[in-house]
Amino acid sequence: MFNFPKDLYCDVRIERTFKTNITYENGILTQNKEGSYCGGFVRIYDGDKWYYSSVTDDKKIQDKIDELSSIAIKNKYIYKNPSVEKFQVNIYDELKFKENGTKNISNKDKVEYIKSFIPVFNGYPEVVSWNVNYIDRYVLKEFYSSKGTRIKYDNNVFGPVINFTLKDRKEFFNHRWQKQVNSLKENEGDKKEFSLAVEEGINFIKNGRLVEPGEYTVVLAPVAAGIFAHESFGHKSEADFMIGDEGMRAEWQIGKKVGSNILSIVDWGDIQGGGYTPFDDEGNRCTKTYLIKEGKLSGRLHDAETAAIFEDKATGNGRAINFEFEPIPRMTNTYIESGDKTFDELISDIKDGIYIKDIRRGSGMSTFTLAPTICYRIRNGKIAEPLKVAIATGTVFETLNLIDGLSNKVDIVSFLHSGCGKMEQFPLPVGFGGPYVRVKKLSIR
Amino acid sequence: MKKELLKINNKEVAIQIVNSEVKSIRNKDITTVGARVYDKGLIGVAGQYGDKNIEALYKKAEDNLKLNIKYPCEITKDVQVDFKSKPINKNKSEIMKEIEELFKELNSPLNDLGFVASGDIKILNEDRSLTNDENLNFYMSKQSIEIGILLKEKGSPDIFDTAYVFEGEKFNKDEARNGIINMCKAHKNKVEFQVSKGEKIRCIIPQNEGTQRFFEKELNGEKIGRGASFFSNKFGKKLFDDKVTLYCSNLFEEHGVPFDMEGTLNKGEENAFITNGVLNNGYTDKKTAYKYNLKATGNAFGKFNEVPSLEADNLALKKGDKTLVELIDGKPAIFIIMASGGDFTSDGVFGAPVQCAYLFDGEKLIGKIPEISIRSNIYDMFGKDFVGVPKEGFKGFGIDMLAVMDMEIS
Repeated sequence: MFNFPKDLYCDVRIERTFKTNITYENGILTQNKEGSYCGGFVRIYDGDKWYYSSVTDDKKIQDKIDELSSIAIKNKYIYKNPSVEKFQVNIYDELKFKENGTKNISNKDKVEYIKSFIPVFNGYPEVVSWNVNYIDRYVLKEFYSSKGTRIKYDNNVFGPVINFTLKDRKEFFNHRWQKQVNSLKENEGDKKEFSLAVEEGINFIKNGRLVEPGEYTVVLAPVAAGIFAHESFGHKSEADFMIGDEGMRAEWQIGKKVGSNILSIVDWGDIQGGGYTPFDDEGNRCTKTYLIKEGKLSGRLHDAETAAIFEDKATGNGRAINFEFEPIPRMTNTYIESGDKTFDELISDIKDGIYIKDIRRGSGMSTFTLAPTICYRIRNGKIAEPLKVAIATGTVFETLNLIDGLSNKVDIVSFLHSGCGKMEQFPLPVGFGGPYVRVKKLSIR
Repeated sequence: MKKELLKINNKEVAIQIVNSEVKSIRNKDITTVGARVYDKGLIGVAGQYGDKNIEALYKKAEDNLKLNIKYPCEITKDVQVDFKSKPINKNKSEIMKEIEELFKELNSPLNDLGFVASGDIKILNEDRSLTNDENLNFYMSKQSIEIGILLKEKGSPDIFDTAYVFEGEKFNKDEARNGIINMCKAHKNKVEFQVSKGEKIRCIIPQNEGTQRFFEKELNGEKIGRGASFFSNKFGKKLFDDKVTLYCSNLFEEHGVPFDMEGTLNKGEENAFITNGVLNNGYTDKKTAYKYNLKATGNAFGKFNEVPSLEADNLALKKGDKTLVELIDGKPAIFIIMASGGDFTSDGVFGAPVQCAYLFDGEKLIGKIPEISIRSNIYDMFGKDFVGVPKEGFKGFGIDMLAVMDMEIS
């Protein structure tokens, strides 16, 4: 397909994207955008430096290959380079959504679908402002390398994202409900779920009490547990952060105890949804990678280069947000594995604790932080009144060891409107989740 | 039927640093075009990469009129303005050569101090034009250099420990080297920092570190028009300190843009949302201003292929006339480098963890303090606890949009 240069490694990633965004804001259609774009990213490696370029016209890819080749220094041993040796040779061609993806659904049907959520607001005078969005994203990825890899796969995610502001007396509460769906045809269940989210928000604004700051036993809902796993441990497992730090590599020996015995955290690209990545953006096949298994450090997330440096297997985690960027080690779907309790069993012996049901965002360095939206007090083993919590925070490694209960079902979600950020590359679609997770002690403010 | 064309060209050379060495060079030259057609109170939009076949793009935009998106406003007429930033002080090859030299020079001191550097240096050039049938011809050209270097202390469990950032049109290798080394030296000097419960400390905070997010959310014209803003019914009142003047910047050096995507001139401080502590108005695009009879402020942004929509991501606080030393006024003070993960609650309470901060005397970073949390609320942090905006930034960090406020810490 391409005329790859001799004595240089070269690969080409092509992305064909179709996106829709329909927005109704307070009853008025304000956005209805559908667009298809093609972009390519060319990489050349000479064993010393990488040379990258983006193109928006796939007919110019060969020109870019030739242009970058002329800058790079020929290296007849390039295929013996440890990083290049980590590039697998894969042949794959499977398009799951070519015929039944959202590209083939009419704009009219999408408009009717998203409009059907609007009447839900009618029963709730507390809703003073809202916007209702339909989002879909179809991406067909092609990858070709000078080692012989030829890959073609696609992914399609879609669903509603609804933002609304509630008012009660002088108080306001901004809330969001979103869901990645599988079909635009049957949405009665989704409308019911959305209406329950509005009612929960109303209960929160009317009855929510300001939390007394302190340390509490906390139960994290799957979305909060997933963001905790992603922010607190997932990023630390991206191996590029350890390059050049021999001390840290020694400290982070596989097998080291880092969490409680019931804790396992996994990253795996072969799960449908936003983080679906059967092959990474270097053409390597995804693997199910345990970052922590039964409390012990078990793996790291690699692109080819870090796999070579660490003398590990490439894990298929070299990802880029789009055709304008180079792949770097990133997460795909990161989740905590399930335990053996029901939700009721998990909270049954908590005398005074907090249930974090939904959160706005999280972050994680040595200390991690979750910014909750909806929280409840747990009193004598039962969910009680809603609580207003600004932040929940803890030391990452202490908290990993304080996890003492997991429910028996994993829920993995991905956000349609946003994603993961790492340095300049934001937002990358990822999935995250887990079961309900009980932590013996977290600092709540 | 009226036609309008938005054209954006972004050129970029990005030099990536890994393990204190240049790893890669990335070139980008991407043009995006948005065509808009206005007819009978409706707008049709279509976008594409590349600037070929513009007539076909207009045809798509015309077809999109059938989507029935209302646009009950006049398009901007009879304005022709060119805005150009100062040119970068060196050419591309000089900068690339100096970056290679910079990291060679940093290699030994960073190694001695026990740090690893990664990140990138970008040479950026953005050209943006907005033209229409009604004699609108806006053009802006912005050149800048962005440096974002993450510094990781060897053996630290964190993905990075501190960061050196810079954005401007003047690349100075010696300043960057000294800034990075001084930051690492301060980081190695771990200082005790004892405070009693509820005590406030003077904080120097980059303006993009989340403290202005509440204004971005609650000064949205649509929310104000619906009576759904925290600030509804509070306009015209003096809610904040005299030294607080907040506006959407139109200056390149404050990351502002001189005109929005509807062709409304951004008047910056002249259209301030808060002037000397008095809450004036929120931010609007043409549609929101028309719909709710609010003042138009030129805040229509969004992607090239969309109907322009309401945004305010370049909020700036007006600089004062005091230096950082004068604002610190001899009190114990911290320079916050990173406070990620915090937020405001709906009722204006602010809380954030501070992952990286240094004891600071207004001229130099003294030593790294332990991780803390900061807490305040929108009225205190921009009211009685607001100390001021320094007249110039801190050269040792590279960012000059700072605010100084007292915060409760724990």
